[in-house]
Parts: sequence; C-alpha cells; structure tokens
Amino acid sequence: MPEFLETMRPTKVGIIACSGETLPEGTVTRIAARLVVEELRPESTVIMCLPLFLAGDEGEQNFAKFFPTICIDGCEKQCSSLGTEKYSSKPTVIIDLKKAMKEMNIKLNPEETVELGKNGMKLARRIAELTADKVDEILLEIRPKDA
Amino acid sequence: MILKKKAIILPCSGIGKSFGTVARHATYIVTKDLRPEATTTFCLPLLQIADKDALDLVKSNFVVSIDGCAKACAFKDVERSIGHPSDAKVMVMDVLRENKDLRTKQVTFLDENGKKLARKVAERVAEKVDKLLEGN
Repeated sequence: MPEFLETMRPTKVGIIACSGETLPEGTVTRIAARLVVEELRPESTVIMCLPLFLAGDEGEQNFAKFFPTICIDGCEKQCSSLGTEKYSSKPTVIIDLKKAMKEMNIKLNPEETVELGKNGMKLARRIAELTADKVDEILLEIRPKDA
Repeated sequence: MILKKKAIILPCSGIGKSFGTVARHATYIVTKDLRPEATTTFCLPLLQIADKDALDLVKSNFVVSIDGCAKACAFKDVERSIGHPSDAKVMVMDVLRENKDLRTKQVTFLDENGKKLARKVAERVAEKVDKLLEGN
C-alpha cells in the first residue's frame, strides 16, 4: 500500500470506466461502474469521468492522486488505466474486461454498443460485483479497524 | 458519391450525469441512423492515450464534439490532442434549454425524456454535419 494511503486512510474509492463508445465492451464497463456506485457500494465509491482528466480538471486529477481508484478497461488499449496514470496517478486496481470475459466464457455481440443484450447485462453485473469486492479489499487494507 | 472527408462525432460520454449518456446516445443516432454514410465515431479516451490511429482520424476529418455539461470535456480533449478545436460543437444543455419538458435524471439507462432529448441533440448534430460537408 502506498505510504500516503496509510496516512490519509480515505473512505472512498474512485471508479473509472473506459466507457468506450465503439465497442460493446465499453458499454459494459460503463454500466458496471454505474451499478457499483448506484447499487452495490454507493457509500464507499464515487464515479469519475475519464475525459475530465485530459480536459485538465484538477478536482478529478487530484482525487485520483490521493484516493484509491479502480479502473475498468474494456479492451487491450487500456485507456482507463493508462489515461488515469498519465494524468493523475497509477490506479490501485485494474480490471481487464477481456481477460474476465475469457475466464467467464462470455462473448458479446458486436452490435450491442447502444443497448446490451442478456449476455452483456450478465457480464456487466458480474464485473460490477468483482469491482465491489475489490472496493471492499482496498478499504479493508486501508482501514482495517473500521471493517 | 464518395466523400473526401467524414465527420467524426465525439461525445463526452460523461458518466456522472444524465447529459453524458444523452450525448453518447445522440452519437449512436447520428452515426447509425441519421447520417451513417457521412459520419463515424471512436472512443474519446483514445485521445487521452494519444492513440495514433485516433489522432490521424481527427486530424484528417471534420470533428463534431457533443458535450453534456459546461466542463466541455469532448471539446477540450480534441483541442488538447490536436492543437485546435473541433470544427463544430453541440451542447446538450443548450438543446435542453430549448426543450425544457425533456428534463431527465436517469444516467445508466435513459428514460423516454432522455431518449427524446438525445434525438433532438442528434438532429442538431446532423445539421452541423451537413454544413461541414457542403462542397466536400
């Protein structure tokens, strides 16, 4: 664990999805991130806009510098994790959707970018649950006495 | 007819407010329904990692940015990436001001108002595309 996290003991984890527009995987990361902050861990997470980093928003950049973050990448380009590291700080956890899809044996229809089908929604839910588990692990490590 | 240049539609796809989702859906309406031959899109975060193919695409075509809120991330990301602003921009908030009955709060899945607003935004974008491609 980085030293500053031991000192600050943050109570929130930032969730950063690639949210890519051209692949259904981007839509999956987007919906998974929303499920985490709206439904699974609303008290312990905040959602962050990836495009704000490049746009130069200091609030977003500083949050990711001083708080733990989980990046969800939809493809091998890794825009979420690389963009976060480039403009702010290295993410605490990276979730690789393609790798998870292989492990879960789930395939997506390339036409599902606008609206996910049954498989896409199932995948989004599972990625959200995986992300929520990682949130718990991060906070348990930072604040073991509060757990 | 073969177009020399296309219009690249880049939405902010903001994830914290409904307007980002509206911008994202408007892009799909333009690129898949209203102007499929004249437009395309790509993942905005590719600009963040300076992806060569994405940069080449925005440098060699027209760019229309769609922003959900005043932070104007799509517009700024294009400007920071290629050194000049997008050729045209559409703000969801501006379209909402003209259609106040279409207020929406749903972020993850757009409600009926959100879908209607996205259609209005898409129509505005299509108008911008037509102007940009005049004489192309």
